[in-house]
Amino acid sequence: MIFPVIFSTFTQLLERSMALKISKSFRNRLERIYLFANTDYYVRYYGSKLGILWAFLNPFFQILIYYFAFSYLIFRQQDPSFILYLFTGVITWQFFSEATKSAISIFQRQRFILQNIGLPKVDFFWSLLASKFWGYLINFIIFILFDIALFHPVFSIRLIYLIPIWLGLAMFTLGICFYLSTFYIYLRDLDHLWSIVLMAGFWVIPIIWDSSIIFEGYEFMMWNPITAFLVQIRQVTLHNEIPDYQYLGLGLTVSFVLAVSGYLFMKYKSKKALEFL
Amino acid sequence: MDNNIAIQLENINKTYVLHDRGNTIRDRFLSVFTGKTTRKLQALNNVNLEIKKGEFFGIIGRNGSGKSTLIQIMNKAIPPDKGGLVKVNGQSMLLALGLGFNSELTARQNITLCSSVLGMSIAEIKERMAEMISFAELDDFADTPVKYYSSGMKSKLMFSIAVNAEADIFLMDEFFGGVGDQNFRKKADEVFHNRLVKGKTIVHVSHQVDTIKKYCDRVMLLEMGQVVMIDTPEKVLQNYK
Repeated sequence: MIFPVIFSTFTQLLERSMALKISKSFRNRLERIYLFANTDYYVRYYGSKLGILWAFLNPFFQILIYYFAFSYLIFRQQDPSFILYLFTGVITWQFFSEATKSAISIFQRQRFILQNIGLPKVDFFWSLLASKFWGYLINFIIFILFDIALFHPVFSIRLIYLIPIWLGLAMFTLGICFYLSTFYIYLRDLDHLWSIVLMAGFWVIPIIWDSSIIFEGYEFMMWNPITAFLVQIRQVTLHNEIPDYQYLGLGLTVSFVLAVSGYLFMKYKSKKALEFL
Repeated sequence: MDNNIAIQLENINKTYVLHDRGNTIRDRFLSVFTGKTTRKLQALNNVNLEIKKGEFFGIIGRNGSGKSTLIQIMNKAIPPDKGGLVKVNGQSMLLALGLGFNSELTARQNITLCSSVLGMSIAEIKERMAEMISFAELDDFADTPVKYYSSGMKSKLMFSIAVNAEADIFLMDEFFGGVGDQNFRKKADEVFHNRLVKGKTIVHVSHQVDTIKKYCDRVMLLEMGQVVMIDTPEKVLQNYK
């Protein structure tokens, strides 16, 4: 598998660099996070015949279905680059929705280890985020290759702006994951409610609709961090433009506050997780 | 905390809140109209205890006396009531029947996960993998998902991880009751007698008098969540009978 190779090269590089001497306990923690992330992937995909391919087939077919539905059936949208707009929207939304859906029952899934060996619960969230972000990254690489192959885009160093945008997206997702998993301890049917929220979210976020044409009175739909990050991702990848700093800054601030408050909430309110689950 | 102490418990009380209704959004909503639907159950009452490093400590008591709750608190899996203090010096591992593994994963994968959590590096785990599998007598089933294992096989696997991955503190909750295999019990005997787990602290919860008598340095008798006495196995077992 490619994942262990990348990981061991990564840790070896870190170890060899003079400036960063990794302590054994920190290295062990990194390894543990990697192992849990890898397990998450394994349990999810390896039982099926097509295995890991499902991680890519799912968004691929979703994009194709929306493209044909909206280009030919509903809007008669004839701009072929609409598929790129959809591509970025679908894979970004998929990252967020998969991570949060999976986080809801994280303590229940991991109780086998929590019950036996004490370890910081936050490590499960790092693993979850790493596993889902890995999938997102691979989908993103496929998007870039697809774009290059069919649309001959102009990419520049501005792609580097994706790093703060992704950081914000990851913080926001992590914050929501902390809150959901902790609430689930006390409200066991939260997963049903969350799937309704996600269903609504799909239409609230500009995944399919054009965020540059917003109806009067509906501007509030632009004021949520996911939309802010998605708009900036498109700005950088589809238009080769720099992000709107004010809009991105606001998204980053809200996400940071959410992640930190979510962590503290999870830390203090999940102590009785094993009693209730 | 004194460095010779492995586990220190001070003023440990544990009250469980039992919900008569379920734990869903609908139930929470309904309880606004129907009033309180919870009851309290005191499982532990003012337990104070110090277990030394390297000690083989037994906990004995009838069903419902609070033994398993106490061992879960020692493992920090559940918190005590406010005011209680739990200090644990080292990495502990709970060995109990029916707990401990991701059933979708194979023995090899579960060994990797658990050993990593216990502090071993991936390289160390790879090095000792064959030894762990053979100690658990699972050579032919190392790549079979654990969901197909019998409870005896799971117990062997768990014991092998605890011994080989070198957990500092073994918390055993009625553990040997489930291992029917005499050969493996013999092997476990050897582990304890030959001090393969030398320097390790072992807390052994059981109501099997013979294992308590055989191994323990000190024993605690629990009754209705309260400590009745802590003394040598002989003295405590006289009172238990």
